[in-house]
Amino acid sequence: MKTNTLITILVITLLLLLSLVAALTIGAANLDVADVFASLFGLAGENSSLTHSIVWQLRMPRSILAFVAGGGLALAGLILQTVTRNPLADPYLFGISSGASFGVVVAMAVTGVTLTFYLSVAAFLGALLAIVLLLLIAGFSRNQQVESMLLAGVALSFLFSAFTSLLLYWSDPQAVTAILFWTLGSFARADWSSLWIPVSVVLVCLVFMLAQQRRLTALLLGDESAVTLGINVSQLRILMLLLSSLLTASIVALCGGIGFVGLMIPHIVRFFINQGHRWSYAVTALVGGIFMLWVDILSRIVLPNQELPIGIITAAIGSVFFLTLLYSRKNQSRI
Amino acid sequence: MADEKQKANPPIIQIDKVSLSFDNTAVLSDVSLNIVQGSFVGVLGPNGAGKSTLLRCIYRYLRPSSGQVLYRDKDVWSYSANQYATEVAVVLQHTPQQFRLRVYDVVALGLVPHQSLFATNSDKDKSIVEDAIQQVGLSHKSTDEFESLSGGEKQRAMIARAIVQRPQLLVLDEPTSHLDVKYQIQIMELAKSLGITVIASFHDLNLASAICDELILLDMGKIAAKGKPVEVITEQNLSDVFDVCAKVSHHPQHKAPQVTYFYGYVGNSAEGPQSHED
Repeated sequence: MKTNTLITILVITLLLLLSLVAALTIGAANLDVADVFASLFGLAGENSSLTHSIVWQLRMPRSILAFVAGGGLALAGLILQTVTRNPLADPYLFGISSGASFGVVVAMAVTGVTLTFYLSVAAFLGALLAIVLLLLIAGFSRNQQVESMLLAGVALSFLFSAFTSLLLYWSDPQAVTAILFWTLGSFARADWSSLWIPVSVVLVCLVFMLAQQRRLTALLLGDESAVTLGINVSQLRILMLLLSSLLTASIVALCGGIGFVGLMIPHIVRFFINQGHRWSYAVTALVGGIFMLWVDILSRIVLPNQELPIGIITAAIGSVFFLTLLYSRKNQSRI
Repeated sequence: MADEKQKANPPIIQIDKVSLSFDNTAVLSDVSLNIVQGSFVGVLGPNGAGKSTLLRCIYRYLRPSSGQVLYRDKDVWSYSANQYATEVAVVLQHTPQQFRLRVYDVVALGLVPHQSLFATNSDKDKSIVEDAIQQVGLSHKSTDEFESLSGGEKQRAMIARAIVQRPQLLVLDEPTSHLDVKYQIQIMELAKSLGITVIASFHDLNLASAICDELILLDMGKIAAKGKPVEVITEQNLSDVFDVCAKVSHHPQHKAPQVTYFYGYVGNSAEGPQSHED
């Protein structure tokens, strides 16, 4: 078991390094791997200033954001699936994403601002509003907390979508285009000055979640069994919901709507490392990050001279993944 | 003899005039009893008699509306949840889950109340978990997925988890329902072999009679009878509480009361089956 763990971690670290180099090298301007390494380690000679600024000013912050967003969303998905014991839970099920979109639409439609920074703030506030409403509704019911959380999440999700559509209906076409583009997700807004927010939120949440990992695993046995293991179940669940929401909100605010990652990555990771394992949370976050690095690479090279929105790629991969899963299960059960 | 035992062993649980109602419906009313340290106590009663509710009051999941439950002379609610979990372990009816946990991980969850937040499993912890898995005879399955186990094996794994908690008191809420007969006997004998105080609810009266030192018979939230199996499993109690006609004899092997039911409820009047002397 020990050696298996070591091999898994080694493979993932190698994959991460490889993916990062690929993310820095591949793109509209195809760079030479040697040049990328040269500018990474400050060994760049003359006429490499263009390479240097592409690597350091564009691709590095963007790749870090993609990695952090992927890791954060995967982790949030894993945590929400665990605390609700529902393998189909993900950050978007709880109205967080539609709350964020609502915030952006309100900001654009009411104040007319289109500056990235203000939109991010608006998205964050919208997501926060959704979380607060969810906690107000589900936090009080102690007995059927899971059921009320899922139902309230779905209800809020539709409510915010309805408001968003209503505002869009009244907005001018230009705003509609801008909002649509925002909701499809992109890492193009990444820059060094704003990167610290999602990075620090994801790191802080990761530490909190790792601290509670064993208690979270105990929740899988059912609320009552978890209580008999000395766990304050409703408090732990609300804390975890809050942390996953903060995680999602800070990512959504910068990157827009990116679905399916929180749902899909924990499922993939469960194939090769079981959830009771000490490293399973960290591995889920790392795999999510690596996956998102490659999605970002795809988004830059699929169409010539233009970027494909991230949300389209993740949704396409996600639906194919789940159909494959369904098909392979059907075949298995036939045997 | 019984009195001497009572004096030698102090009560581990004292239930003092406990009542509990949900939405103005009394589920438990005025229940008082003592559970002696080291005994194996069975809780019997028809569906809805309040068996699970009584156990939930004991393992600190439900708070009584009035009265109190004492563990070692202190109100159970004066212990912290974590503190209590190091003293009392609970095995419930199997709860389904679909997250591919291994048997080892499920059993290791018994360590939770003993560990701080970031603690990793020490070698001692690992040997505690492995010993518990061996004790329930699942060593060959410890890396299997919990979901792949049979019903009896799942319950044995849950008992191993309780062993890892190193409790003074083990509470079992109908741990053998839905299990094959062999496993029903095996699980209860396993619990008895631990040598700690056990409180378990039963559906099978003959199993309870064979295993338990003391029985508590509940009916509509009240104690209908308590004492040794011979005192509780009587033809009168079976007819009063369970509304069945039965003959109580002695089991050929262990001499505890043995229940034989009579049949013929359908087609007769509402009074139940015809007298078996007919």
